[in-house]
This record gives sequence, C-alpha cells and structure tokens, in this order.
Amino acid sequence: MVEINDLSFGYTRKENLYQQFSIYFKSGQIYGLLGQNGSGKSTLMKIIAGLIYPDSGNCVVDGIDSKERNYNYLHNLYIIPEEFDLPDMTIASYVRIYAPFYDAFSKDQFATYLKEFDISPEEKLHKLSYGNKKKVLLSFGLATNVRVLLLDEPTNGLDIPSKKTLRQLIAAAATPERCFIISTHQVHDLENLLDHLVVISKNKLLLNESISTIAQKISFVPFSSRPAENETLYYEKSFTGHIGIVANKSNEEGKINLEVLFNGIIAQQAKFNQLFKPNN
Amino acid sequence: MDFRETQAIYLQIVEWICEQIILEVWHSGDKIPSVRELAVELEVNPNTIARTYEQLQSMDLVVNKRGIGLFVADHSKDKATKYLKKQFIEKNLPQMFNYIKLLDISMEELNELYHTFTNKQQKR
Amino acid sequence: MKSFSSQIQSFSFHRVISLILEYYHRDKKTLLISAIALYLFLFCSLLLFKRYGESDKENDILQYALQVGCIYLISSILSVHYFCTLRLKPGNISALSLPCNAIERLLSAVIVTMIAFPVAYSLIYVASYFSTLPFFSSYTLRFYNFDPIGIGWISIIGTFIGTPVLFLWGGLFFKRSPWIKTILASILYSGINTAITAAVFYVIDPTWDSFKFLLVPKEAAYQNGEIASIFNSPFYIVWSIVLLTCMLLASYHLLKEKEVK
Repeated sequence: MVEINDLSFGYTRKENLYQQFSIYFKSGQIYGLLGQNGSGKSTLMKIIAGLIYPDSGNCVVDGIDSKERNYNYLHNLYIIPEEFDLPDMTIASYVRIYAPFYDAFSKDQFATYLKEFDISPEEKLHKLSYGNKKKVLLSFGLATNVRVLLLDEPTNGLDIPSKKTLRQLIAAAATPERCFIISTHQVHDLENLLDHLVVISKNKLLLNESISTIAQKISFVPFSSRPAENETLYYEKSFTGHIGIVANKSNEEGKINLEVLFNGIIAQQAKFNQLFKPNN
Repeated sequence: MDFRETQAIYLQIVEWICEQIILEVWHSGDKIPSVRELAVELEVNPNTIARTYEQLQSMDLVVNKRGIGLFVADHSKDKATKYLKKQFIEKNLPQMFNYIKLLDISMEELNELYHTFTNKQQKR
Repeated sequence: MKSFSSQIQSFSFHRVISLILEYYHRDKKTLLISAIALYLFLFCSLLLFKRYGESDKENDILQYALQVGCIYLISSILSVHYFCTLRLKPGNISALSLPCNAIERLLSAVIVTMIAFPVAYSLIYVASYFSTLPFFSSYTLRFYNFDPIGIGWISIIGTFIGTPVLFLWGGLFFKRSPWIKTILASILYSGINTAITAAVFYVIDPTWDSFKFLLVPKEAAYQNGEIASIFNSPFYIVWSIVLLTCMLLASYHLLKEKEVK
C-alpha cells in the first residue's frame, strides 16, 4: 500500500537522514514507528504524506508517486502532526469547511468520536487546550475514513481516559483495507494495538518485523542477578533485578516488552540485525 | 483488561475467555462478540482477537456456523476447565512449588490456609 | 506534463469553491474588519477631497490616486497572504495535505483576488461614495472618473490583474517578508522592463525624445492620448499577457513543489 524505494533524503547537503532506504507498509496493519529523537520518524511521515519530496528514490501510495501530490494522492491519506495549528472557528464550522475535501467523511462517526472524547461540537477551537485540539484532529482524521493514517505521537498531550478512548477508536477503525503508521515515544500507550514494529535510526532500518515473529524469535526473561556475558542478547536493570532478551527456544510466543526491546536494539544493533535481517 | 508481562496477548485473551465460560458469563450456544467488538472492549488490535478466535476454534471451544458467526461450542465448560487446569499445572504450579519449598511450608499448613481462603470466599 | 494532465483529469470546480470557502472562513474576522476600515477610510478621504479639492479635475485626479493606491495596496497584501498557510509553521502540514490539486488552489486564488476582490472593493467604494452625499446637499459630488489622466482602459484592467498575479507568485516564492521582497523584485523588473521598452522605442525612433518621453512624460502626453496609445499598443498588450501567463505558470509550479521542510 505504501511503498518506499531507495529513498535518499537530507535537510542539508552534507547530512543524509535517509540513504537508499526501502520499506513497504501493508494494508490491514498497524505499524509502530519507533526511533530516538531526530531519527527521522516525522520526516518519514511527511515524505509519505507528500509534504517533502525525496532527493532520490520514490514513495508510492496506491500506485501514485508522492511527487504528483494531486487530489487522488492526498484524498486517501490523513496526517496528524505533532505540532499543528487550527483555525479560529467552532468545531462544527471546522467540519463544515474541511469535510467536503474527503469523499468518505462521515459526520455521524465524527459526532460519535467527539462524544467519546467528551468534547462539545459547539466549542471554539482556539479556546481548547492542546490535548483537546488533538482529540478533535484525531476524531476528524478517523472520520475521514482514509486508507492511510499517519499519526505522529498521537497520545502526546492526551489525558489518561482519552488514551483509553483512542485505543478503542483505533481498534474499531483498524479494518483490513486500512494502514495505520503510528510514531510514539510512549510505547506503553498503544503497545497492544500494534501488528508490526519498525525501528529506525539515522539512515538505518534497525527492525522491520511483525510482533508475532519477534515473539517467536526472542523472549524476555527476568534474572535475579546480573546475567552472564553470553547469556542474553541484551539486558538491563529492572525493578526486581535484571530483565534480559534471550533467543526464544520454546514454540510459544511470549509478550514483548517494547521498552526493553527498543533499548536492546539501539544498544546491540549488530546482534539484532543478524537475528532479524530487517533489510531483506 | 490488564495484561501480564509474560504471555502473548492473544493467549491471555484465550485464558480470559475460558474464565468467562467457566464462570458462566458465556454459555454454550451463545454467539460470541465480533472480532471488532471484542478488540474495542479490550483495546487491542483486531488481528490479535482474530488469532485468539482461531486458537479457540482449534481447541473446539468455539464453532463457526457458516454465514452466522462464531458460537460457544457444546460442553465448552469442561473443555475450558481442562485447558486452564493444564495451563495452571504447567506454568503456575511449578513456581508455587518453588516458593513452598523455599519457604518450607508444610502441606498441613497449606491445607489450613486453603480452607480459610475458601471459607472467606463463601461468606462473600 | 503527465502530472499536469492527471491534475486536469481529477479537476473539480466544486473543490475550488470549497477552497474559496475555506479561505473565507479561516480569515473571516480579518476580512470583515478590513472591509469596515476600508469603508471608513474611503468615506473620510472622499469628504476631504470634496472639501479641499479645488476643481473637479483635481478632485478626479485625487480620487484616481486614492483608488489606485488602495487597490494596489490591498490587492497586493491580499494576494501575498493568500497562500500564507502553506508557508507558515506549524499549520502548513495540514494545509498542504488538504486533498486538492495545485491547479484548483491556483484557480481559487485567481477567483478571490481577481474577481471577488474587485467586486467587493467596488461595492465598498460605491457605498462610501453614497454615504458622503448627505454632506453635500448643495453640491453634486462627481462620481469616480476611471481614467482621468488618459492611461487607457486596457492598461488599467491589466494593472488590476497584474498586481494579484505578481503578489501571488511572491507569496509562494519568498519565505520571509514576501510582500516587501515582491515589491523590490517588481521595482527591479520595472527597471529592466523600462530599459527594454526604451530600447524598442529607440529602434523605432532613434532620438533622445523617445527616452525623455518614457522617463518624464509630459502632461500634454496624457491629454492627447499619446501615453494611452503606447500602453495600449499591441506590443505592450501581448508582452503583458505573455508575462502574466509566465507568472501564473511559475506560481503553479511553486505550488506543486511546495514542501514543509
């Protein structure tokens, strides 16, 4: 559905954020896009949304090159950036003005979502807090019924009950023809929703694997004392001792600890690269 | 639903559904919630629920009536009990035994504790 | 060319209207306040002109200067700001990912700046003009003379179209302070243009008079229509059309290539 081929891109001539980077995002999947600050997560989303053009290589969504960026390209795609600016009007007017650009927009869905988030459509956008503005954008984005949803740090600024609501809305909206790409630092907020993990670091794809494959290959084991040198792929201190990542020798899948996995991948790039071979 | 740290989520949901059947919240012959409904309720990925349902079908706890949907199978309570018991004996019991051995708790003491526990539950 | 034809295929006039409505609702407050301010400004100016303008002729020229000044100023600011949401962070991501074609955006801008604005301006002008009538019951206030110094209709219309075309381009081309930079660019261009025009005249009539005439037109030249005949000459008109078309194409290209870096 979203196809990135040999992408090279840099904000300056000297430093390339992406070089010969390829990845494919399937429909019917929820992708978690992880990476350290400045690793290029938001840039990748902007490239997919056609807001930044690759220096070389291309990004193709549903057969259309992002460089076209015409109505046909954009109308199947919605991006919720981390920073945004909403016009000075009521929520109701906002919908009246912006909904006509999306063929499949559902006003009923939008009203339901707003209600779930406990926001009145009569409120003025400029008077809302950052978190509440975000709820409006999330409701709008989900109600557009587009096929590619790009959410940059969607839980940032949301209060605890709204994170729950968001999880429910995403679970309801994740249909087989849709593709969600969600970047997040708050790994626990959405971890049970993800199908697939993509970890990027400057210039490199460190992991590109489904949650079930990851769980088949590795498991997370608590250690009461510091594990020996070759006992684990990676370990770190935990509340009760140490937690280590080891190769999964059983047939059963365990639960993935996203935080430990992320730290492990960043710290032991070579070991994980060998295990998962993300570039194949 | 709070998920534990150790087991894959889809398997934890399998166990949760077994509990629902044993507690007779779900009865044999009941239509079970759609994948999406349960995904929303438990705030997890619909594909995870689909996997849970596949697992339940392979365990004959749930049957697919073509065109209508998934239903809780006959004698599901027995099957569910059997499955959970097996899980408990294989996974939780060894851990418990470890502690019992470590803390040197006698079987008599254990028996007494179990009686007080069940009495308390009955009063409730 | 392939991308251009794909834009034409999915073109929808309905979306152009949606874009115009989007622009209007986003800036509704500013637009309404500006309209009221303009009305008051024109009203006061007209009163002053009638009070202090000594002859009808002088009044006409003052009104004309007011008109040209206002239209140029407002039209340029309006045009340069039309695409400002695409330029300014952090709203530009949402603005640029709004599903529409670059050609539809450009057409919406053309309609707003070249049709809606002149109509709205004229209405405000007429309204302020009629509001001054009660203060001059003993006089008859002369209505606006469109071409008191003999520049010619075609050139006047050309100016009113040219200003938005120039400033729409400027609003897309310059990232910071686009208005002032567009003015500087147009001064630079006018200089070059004058030089070219002078060169053309020199070829036609190689005397010093042709230069002098361009740089310091005499009042007589306006009155006997010499200026009008130059500005309305086929060469000048064709040149303007070519230039404006190029500017519009450049704006289209800038819209298509706009990024949010």
